[in-house]
Amino acid sequence: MATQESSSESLINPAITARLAAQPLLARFPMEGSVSGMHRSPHRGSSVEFAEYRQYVPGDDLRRLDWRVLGRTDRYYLKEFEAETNLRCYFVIDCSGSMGFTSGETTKLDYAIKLAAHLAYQIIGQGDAAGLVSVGPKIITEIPPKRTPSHLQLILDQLHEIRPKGETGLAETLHELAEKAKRRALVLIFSDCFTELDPLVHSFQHLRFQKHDVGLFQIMDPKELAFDFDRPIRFTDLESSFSLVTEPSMVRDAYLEQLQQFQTGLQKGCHECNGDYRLVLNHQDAGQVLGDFLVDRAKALSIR
Amino acid sequence: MTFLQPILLYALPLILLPVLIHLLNRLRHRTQQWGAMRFLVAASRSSVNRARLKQFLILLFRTLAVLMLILFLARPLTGGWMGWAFASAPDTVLILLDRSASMETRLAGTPRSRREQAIDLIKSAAEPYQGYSNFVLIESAGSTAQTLAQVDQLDDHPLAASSDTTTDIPSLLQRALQWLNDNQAGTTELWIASDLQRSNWLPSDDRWSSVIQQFEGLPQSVQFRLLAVNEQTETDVSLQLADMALMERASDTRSLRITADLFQSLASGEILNATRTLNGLGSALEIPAQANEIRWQDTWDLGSGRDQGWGSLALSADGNLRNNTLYFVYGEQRAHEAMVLSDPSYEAGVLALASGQMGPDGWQPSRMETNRSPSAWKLDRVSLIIWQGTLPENALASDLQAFASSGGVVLCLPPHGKRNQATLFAGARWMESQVAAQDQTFPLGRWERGTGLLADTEEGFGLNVDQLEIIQRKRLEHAGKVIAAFSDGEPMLVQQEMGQGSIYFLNTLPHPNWSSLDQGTVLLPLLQRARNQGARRLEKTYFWTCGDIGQLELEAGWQPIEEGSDHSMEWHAGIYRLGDKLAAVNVPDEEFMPQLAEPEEIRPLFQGVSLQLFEETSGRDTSNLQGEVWRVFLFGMLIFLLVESALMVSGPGSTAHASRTQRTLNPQTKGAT
Repeated sequence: MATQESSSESLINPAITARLAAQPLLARFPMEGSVSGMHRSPHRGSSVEFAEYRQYVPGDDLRRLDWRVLGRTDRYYLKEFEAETNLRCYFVIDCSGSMGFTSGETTKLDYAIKLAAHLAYQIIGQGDAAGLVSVGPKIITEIPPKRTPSHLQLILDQLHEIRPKGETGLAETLHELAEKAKRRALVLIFSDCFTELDPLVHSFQHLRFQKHDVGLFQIMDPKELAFDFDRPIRFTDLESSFSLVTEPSMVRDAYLEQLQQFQTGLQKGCHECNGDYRLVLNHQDAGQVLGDFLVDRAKALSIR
Repeated sequence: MTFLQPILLYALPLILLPVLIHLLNRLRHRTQQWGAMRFLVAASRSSVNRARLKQFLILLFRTLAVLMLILFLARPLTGGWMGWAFASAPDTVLILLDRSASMETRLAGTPRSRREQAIDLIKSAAEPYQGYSNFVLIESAGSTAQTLAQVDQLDDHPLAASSDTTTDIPSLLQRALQWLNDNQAGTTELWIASDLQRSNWLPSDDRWSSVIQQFEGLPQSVQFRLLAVNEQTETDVSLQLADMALMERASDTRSLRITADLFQSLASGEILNATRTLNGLGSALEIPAQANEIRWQDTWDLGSGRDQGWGSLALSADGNLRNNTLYFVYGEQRAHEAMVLSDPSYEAGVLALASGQMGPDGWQPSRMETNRSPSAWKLDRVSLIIWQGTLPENALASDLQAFASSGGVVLCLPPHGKRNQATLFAGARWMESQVAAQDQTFPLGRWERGTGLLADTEEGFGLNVDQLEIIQRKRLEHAGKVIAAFSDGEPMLVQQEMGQGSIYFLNTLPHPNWSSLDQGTVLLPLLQRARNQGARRLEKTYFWTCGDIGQLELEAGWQPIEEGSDHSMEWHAGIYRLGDKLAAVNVPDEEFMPQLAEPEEIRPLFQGVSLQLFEETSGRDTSNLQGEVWRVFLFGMLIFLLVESALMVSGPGSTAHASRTQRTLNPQTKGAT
């Protein structure tokens, strides 16, 4: 157990956590939490952040009446303040076989786990709740979001157990998640998205329809983007037993065309449902990627 | 195709190397686990056909590039004159070689002449045909066709050596045609090697159309290949004898006035050094040459004493040595007379009178001889024999023919009597007599007015030949040249050339019953001219043109005057001696006209037959020519490699296109919100 703990703890890199500590992960849309926190809520509350004036209706608490306005105008107005609540975040990790690919040392899945682990650490550290859903052909693991520090350990342990295998049921899982999560939540998806495009985009739309904040980390390997092989190769599918012998130079152009077409569709689908899309490569510096991610979200909020 | 390094052709299978490498590469595939399989499968479905075609083209161009490389290294002799070797070997190759003096002009910057260059090229082109084709040499200076066992023999073949003659290309072609007709050759190629000198080719000559038509009509396939060795040559100065006059001076001394024409291909404006040789003694002199063409005259004192002599004037060495020297001989002019061999008759008297000459005592008729035995004749001074009567036979005929061959002239007139004569003399025979109708004459049709016995005078006045009234004539069966003919086509005066001289046949008599010839207006100039023409047999000095010397003279045993010289009068200019006779043989006038015909003028001459014209203007030696061919293959290889690389970097599967696509696939670290 001690070994497992140490290995699951090894998922967290102190240098990265230190780098991320200054910038909390913020939701872009109002969230519904159970306790007060640092995220906007759809409800009015008692924070110091003024929201709006509202006309008094019978039943309202008279203590919240703005006496100054009454004195000046003889009208009954209530002064409302923003409520701030905590955040519920689901980490959805695609564990299909294709996530096991790497041309270097870190597989796409390992990289996804690394990103998820640090974000989970960050979220629980800032008092928000984190949950985990790992997806193979169907849901493999599902941990509901909680905000206790011990819950982090559970998540890290589960992340440590994840192995790439089989096809992906990402779209179906997201539909299921959209229905299951009753309250507004942040859904962060870590996947290479190598599945049918339309069902996937529909699942994003479903999540957004349920007022969830969707963030997609599309994780790819440089080799998959460049396809720069120089001699005939037998390509074996990581998700099935299918294989194909081909001359890469002959199909490279068409491959890149197909890939580009898919990428364009995916980005468009994400943007349409206000999703936060970012393409990352499994050899990029995780600290840098996460730092940019947090800063961008904070910037987007401040503009809003 | 001929190769200088044929051993490299064993490397030809190497052209399959790109294919082999490609196949090995395919066999040597490695296995790669792959996640993005859906794109790969879609890609291989959509683009495999186009990509495969491109791959095939790339492979093809690589193969061709290797092929070009091997051919380039094997040093192929192809293109130009050598390119003929591509055709299948003909049964016979007739090599028509221009051996004229102009072919001895050296090519610019080399010690080689046009003729040597042409022979080298012919040898190279003939190499692949060795053993398959018969090679026959027909050259311009000789008269016989020579079969060559090996084309290499051309190098030191006497019939391919240099000569001072000129070339008459139409007649060369006629000889080739004659050879083809006589020998029933199969498929034939005629390889003509010439410098296209206009005076040799005579593009406006009437013979061209007929000779080419006859080639066209030959049953076998005949192809012409013309090697024009008309490239840049060294500068050349030529010297031609225009006139020579022997002048008597006071106190029995004589002098010689030489007039020479000097042509320069490039006006130098310098003074040319020349060597004058007079009777073996040489001395240097200078000729000022300010223009391209100048006429130069000099008078040399001969002193007294010598009857005859010889000499030459030679320029220093230049682009062509053959036209640098003019030769001359001089000697005393001798008196000559005519002799009439006839039974005494009216017409014999007329003939003797008309062929007479002015003596110290007035006009002297010619000697009349009735004795028809040669031993009785004194022919020492005779230049013309007029024979009237039945044609001579046997020994008598031979003697008369020998007289003519030595340069004399024999004029035969018909006998009286109407019957056919059986005697055949010099290819001619008298047939029956014909008498014109009452009050009618046989009208004259045409006669040669340019040269010969009936030519117009130097002043341009014509003889009154058409005013002759001929009422009786004797038909003539002959093999000679018609000098004058009646309007019905029957000949009146026929010339049969015989060695240096001629035998003439006139088929009417100077008698009132026959014609009005006895009035003398035509007969007198005719006989006087015949006498002068026959005076050649009495001369001791001769001016001849190289290549235009009669067979009898060639066989007479003339020797070059310079001891130790192996020159032959047939082919080389110079001074030749036979006994006490001297002959100056000079280069023909045609060779002093350096203008070359343009290939555009030559092509139409061969209309109707297949002609390939090659202008050898590129190289100074054969290796340069091959160099040209290397470049073609090297260029071809580079082109194929360029096309191959262009295919590699453009279109589907190219790196350029892929990088464009990839630029849009770069990961965005900035998120989209």
